Amino acid sequence: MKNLKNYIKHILSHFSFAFWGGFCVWTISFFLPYVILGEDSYIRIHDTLEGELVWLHIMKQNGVMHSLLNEVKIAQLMHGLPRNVMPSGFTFIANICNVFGIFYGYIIGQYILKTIGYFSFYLFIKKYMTLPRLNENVLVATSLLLTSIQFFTPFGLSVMGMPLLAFGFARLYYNKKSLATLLIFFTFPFFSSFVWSGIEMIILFNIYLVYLVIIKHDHVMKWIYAWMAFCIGTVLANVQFIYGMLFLKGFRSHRVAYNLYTEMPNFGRTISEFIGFFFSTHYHISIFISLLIFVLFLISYFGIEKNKWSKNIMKAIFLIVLWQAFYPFIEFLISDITFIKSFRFNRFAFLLPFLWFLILLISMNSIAKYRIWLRKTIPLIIFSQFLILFFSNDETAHNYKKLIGIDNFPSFKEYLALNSFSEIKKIAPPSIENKVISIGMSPTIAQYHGYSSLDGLFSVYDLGYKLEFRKIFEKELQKSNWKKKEYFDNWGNRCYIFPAELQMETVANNMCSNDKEKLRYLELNMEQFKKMGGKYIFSAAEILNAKSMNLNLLKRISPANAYWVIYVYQYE
Amino acid sequence: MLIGSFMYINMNKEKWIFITIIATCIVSVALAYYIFVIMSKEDVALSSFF
Repeated sequence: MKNLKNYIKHILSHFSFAFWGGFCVWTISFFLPYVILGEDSYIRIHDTLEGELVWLHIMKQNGVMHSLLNEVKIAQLMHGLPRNVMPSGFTFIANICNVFGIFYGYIIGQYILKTIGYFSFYLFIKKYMTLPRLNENVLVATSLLLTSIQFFTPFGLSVMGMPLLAFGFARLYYNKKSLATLLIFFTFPFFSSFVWSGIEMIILFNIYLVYLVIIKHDHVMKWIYAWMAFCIGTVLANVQFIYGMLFLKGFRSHRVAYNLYTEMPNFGRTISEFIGFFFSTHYHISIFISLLIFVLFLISYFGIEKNKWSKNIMKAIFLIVLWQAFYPFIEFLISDITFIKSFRFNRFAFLLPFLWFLILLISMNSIAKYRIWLRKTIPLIIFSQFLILFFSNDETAHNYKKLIGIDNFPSFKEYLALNSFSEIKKIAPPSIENKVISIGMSPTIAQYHGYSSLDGLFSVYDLGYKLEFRKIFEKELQKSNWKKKEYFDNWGNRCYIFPAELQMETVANNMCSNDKEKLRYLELNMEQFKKMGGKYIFSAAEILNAKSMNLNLLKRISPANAYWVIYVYQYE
Repeated sequence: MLIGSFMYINMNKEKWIFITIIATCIVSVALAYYIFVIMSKEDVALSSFF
């Protein structure tokens, strides 16, 4: 007991009073909007409410979150989507959503992930960076900046956990061998995404091991232990996905038909993408506007002192962005290798926010060399960077705008139409036999309410099914421009009905909300719809020629203040 | 602005760096405000910008 007390005391001694002050500010500012707004809070739609987050809800509802067998299918999705093509049920975010539900699980999960980022970034700075000119408040404020960035919570620590991994690497480098170091590497995969950081980390780790053995001739065993801990953790955390990937029979992923680059990528566009990635990272990673930090780097490196770390980190950023921008050329040139097409090895950008923050710290340390004028700019730099991150963090910005009543984005409750579906369930009860398609709104909304859907957004599903589903709206694709056709045929993760009269981004940008659109000439193959088990259509746009397709309008659902006006059609 | 600052860097380095930092802070914040607050008034997903 005494030992435990001493250990806790030892741990707490690493953190200053300012650190705990920062922690309180962060906690209050994070929870304030959620406590006040409740389910009227905004939660990101793209790849979150429209996908990953609702998948967790569906897996929970179907009782397949932790199932391991490849034979297990989710009957509610398509014609029974194999569970093992869905995200792992053994990750932190999956389990927290399993316990608290997706709304509270998402909020609590995001708080914990960002708190891990805050603690580990502070520890990394204090223990392994030499910044003698920066005082404690600046270090705490910079660590707090990390909690302000926009990131995708379903991808876990993939971005936010980089300081933790760097901390683990630094401990190895300085020969601090302990169980705690191995534990960092072992547990990290349970908190992060296999696709967004797991594979990439293993690749980088392997490159580093080769460098140590061949070039540096360094003692390699400690690194191998860490590598093993990381690999074992990755396999255990993603055992369902890996097992499914290797042994799932009778299933051919739609990803093998990916054909994202039908012609040689445009060089001019690649350059503009390079600039885009460099100054705003990648929206799946974090919208991280780096202009200010880049200028500070130029000023401090060329104008004040040449710090070799800052130069090396900038080189790493440059290489990552270069790889990301020019990856389409690689994908085009080796498009025959299905494995490369399916996996997309261009996702190293998850390192960028952390690397930019390191440059910010080093640059501020150089700037603080000048005591009269320049040192005074440091609070302004941090405050400006905070504002930039605050504006670009859609969730924080929308929630604070909602608090003052000036936001027009849908809340969690509005987007998932919680009020409307209690009424819809009375006239069109959900069942496995009577399948549904959605038009103008995300299919995950119907899926969330227990409906069995023919459509959906999935990272992996059966190619044969995709071709069958295509027959339902083939005529609409023929009427559409090439862009929509390519979007579905050459990518197709969004297995949606794309009416020719609506823009391709209709669902992504909620263009059909509040009864804004009408469909006059919709042509669906209703025989195919029936053959696939279709019975209902939930449309956010009124189908004016419904009778011609034997569609009977059951009801127009529009409760007071609803975000969607939903037309419920039944195929007769 | 930046190039101009470096041209005069040898004359009064600290002053010119100071001005450049202040200007960059203002420009960066204004740019972020324009992109994320003014341009995102419609119900457009964040990813559409990038």
